Amino acid sequence: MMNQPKDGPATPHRGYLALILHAHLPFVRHPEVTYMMEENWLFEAITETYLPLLMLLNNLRDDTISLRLTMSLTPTLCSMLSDDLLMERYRRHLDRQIELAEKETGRTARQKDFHRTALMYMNRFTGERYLFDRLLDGNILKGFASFQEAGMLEIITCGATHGYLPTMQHNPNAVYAQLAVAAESYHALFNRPPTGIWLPECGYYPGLEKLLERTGFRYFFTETHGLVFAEPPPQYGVYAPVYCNGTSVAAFARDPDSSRAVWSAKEGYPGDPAYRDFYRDIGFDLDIDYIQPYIDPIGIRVNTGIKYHRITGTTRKKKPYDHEAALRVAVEHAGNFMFNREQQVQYLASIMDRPPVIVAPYDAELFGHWWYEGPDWLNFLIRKITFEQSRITLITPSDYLDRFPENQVCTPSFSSWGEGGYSDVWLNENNDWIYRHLHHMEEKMVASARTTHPSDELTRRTLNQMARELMLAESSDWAFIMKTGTMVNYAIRRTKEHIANFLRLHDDLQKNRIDDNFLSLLESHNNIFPDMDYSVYAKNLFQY
Amino acid sequence: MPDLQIPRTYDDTALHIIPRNPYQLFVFWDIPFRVRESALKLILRVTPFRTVSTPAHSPAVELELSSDSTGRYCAVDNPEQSYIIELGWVDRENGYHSLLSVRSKAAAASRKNRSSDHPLLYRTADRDTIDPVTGRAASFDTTRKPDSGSTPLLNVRPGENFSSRLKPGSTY
Repeated sequence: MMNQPKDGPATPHRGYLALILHAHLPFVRHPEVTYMMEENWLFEAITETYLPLLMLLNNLRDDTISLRLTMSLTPTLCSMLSDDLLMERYRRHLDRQIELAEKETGRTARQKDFHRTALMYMNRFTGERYLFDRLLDGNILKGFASFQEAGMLEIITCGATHGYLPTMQHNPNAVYAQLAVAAESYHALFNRPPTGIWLPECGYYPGLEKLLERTGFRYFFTETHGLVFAEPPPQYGVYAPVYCNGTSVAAFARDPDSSRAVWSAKEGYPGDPAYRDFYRDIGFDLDIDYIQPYIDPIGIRVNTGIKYHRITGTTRKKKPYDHEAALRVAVEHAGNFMFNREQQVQYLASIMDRPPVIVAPYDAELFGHWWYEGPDWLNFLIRKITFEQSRITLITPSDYLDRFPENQVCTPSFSSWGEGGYSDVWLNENNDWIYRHLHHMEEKMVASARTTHPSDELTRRTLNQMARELMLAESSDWAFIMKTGTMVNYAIRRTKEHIANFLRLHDDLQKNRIDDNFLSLLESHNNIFPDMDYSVYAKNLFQY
Repeated sequence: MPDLQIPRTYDDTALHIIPRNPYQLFVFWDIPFRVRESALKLILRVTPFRTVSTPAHSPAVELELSSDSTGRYCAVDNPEQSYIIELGWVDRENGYHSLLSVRSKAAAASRKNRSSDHPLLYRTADRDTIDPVTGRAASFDTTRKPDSGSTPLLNVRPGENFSSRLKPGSTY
């Protein structure tokens, strides 16, 4: 009985593909300066990933192609995409890109190999401005929400500030706050509760499911070994979800084959020599006098998003990029990916008594930002799946659970999708100093939330801002950057800044001498989660 | 913005344990400043927690640490085991003082480390007929092309890793 779909018997030797795009950027917002290089992370992702994905979805809808895609939009990303200051800055950024692209069409007029590419950028950027300004009215989230309403997209959430949960497990209230604030923030933006959650860094520890259930989540994802090493071992491996022991929360695990095809530096599609090279950017290649207006005002060269070369090979000498040739390769790669999923489904279905689900999660920013042709590959893949085969059906985790509501009960294993599969990336000699402060702050936050009963607005605002500063310090991004070694100073500064802010607010609260000016400054700078309610930290959670 | 000076440690008595992976725990502590000033050295003792279902696999390990140390990575040999971590200090007359002890949670639900020797999918009856590494039939081929074109399928740029998120350093 367990294996019969709710709406009738499954067609033999068929299965499902769940494509998951995880869109995330840390909260970076600096109203105190007119230019901050790190804000470009968001601007680059909007131009190169989020708007191209919206165009892709729009085209698929126009062509009446039905699809089910899952996308996590993290609360930090949603906060930035909803922020007037950042969106106004993005508008100016895009205007500058268009201005540069216009100049490039003139500069390359006599360079046939580059001119076509310059025109491509010009067309793309102006099309994106039309989409952003006219169709979306500057509201990118509205675009994604419309595709959720249309039934094409299932938007899920993530930890409130992408805090890595396994290193917080000593303090269930801190974990719960990350989940509950995320769920509330999602509800406010999308007018419905989130069904699922992408755990930050895919970080899971046994017991987390109880907090997920308490916050209303129906499912989450683990890295492959989260289920492979589950207890008891799942009957269907990673090709069906399991319910976590003692809860109704389902865990889906990443399929390693479909991941490797896209992610792998050795085998992945994005490394094809025909694809656009990420690293050769005119921000670094052209004369400083020419490029100065489009880089950091103090003269530091940055990416402009205009790149003229293809990967070519291992040589430093790169050949000119040919977009049409790259698209032909993307078609081939989409076909290859689909073919291999068909083979996989055929095999798995032959040994399973229910249709398998292949879970293929990727960072959304891979598509378009790192892998320029990624959105085109996705477009070709979805169309091929629609028209060229009948073995695979695109599905979301919710749909799968609706069709197969009975699943094995297991306890997944501690896991993450970081190098080594556990917490080594976020806990090592480069970043372990932060946990002393995070644990200290988490304890003080819970104690303050439980023992302070604010009778005035100032105290309540202080507690709410303490919660914001704590959550911003918890972002896994800072520990990740400290480990990877690029932009480390910024990550250290941000971490220390939020720690120092929290400690001062806490000290002021204890001494009953709250500085309204300081508090107001923090509220205006670190304005994430305007509806923050500190009492989320005061819950009496179960012991486990 | 405020001064970014933050304390190195806190004037507190606290012992924290974070599993780093199934075989390593990160242990760190705060001890009162007056104790740190009086201590000749610190003692960290890692003892497997014995129960009927999880008998200890190894004896206690005792580590001597300098009095200004604040944390330590501890190797453990059984991810299914929980451990008692005890922190104490030795005064200048060689007297031992226990500060506090904490019991860790088991780092992993079960199983050992991540490896390629676990099938991704098996059913009891089929267990011996499936590739134990990949869980697939031998005929399955992840690199086969559906339509053979002339473009090489899998070319790579050495050293490039697509598995990281939007790299913060991308603006450099």
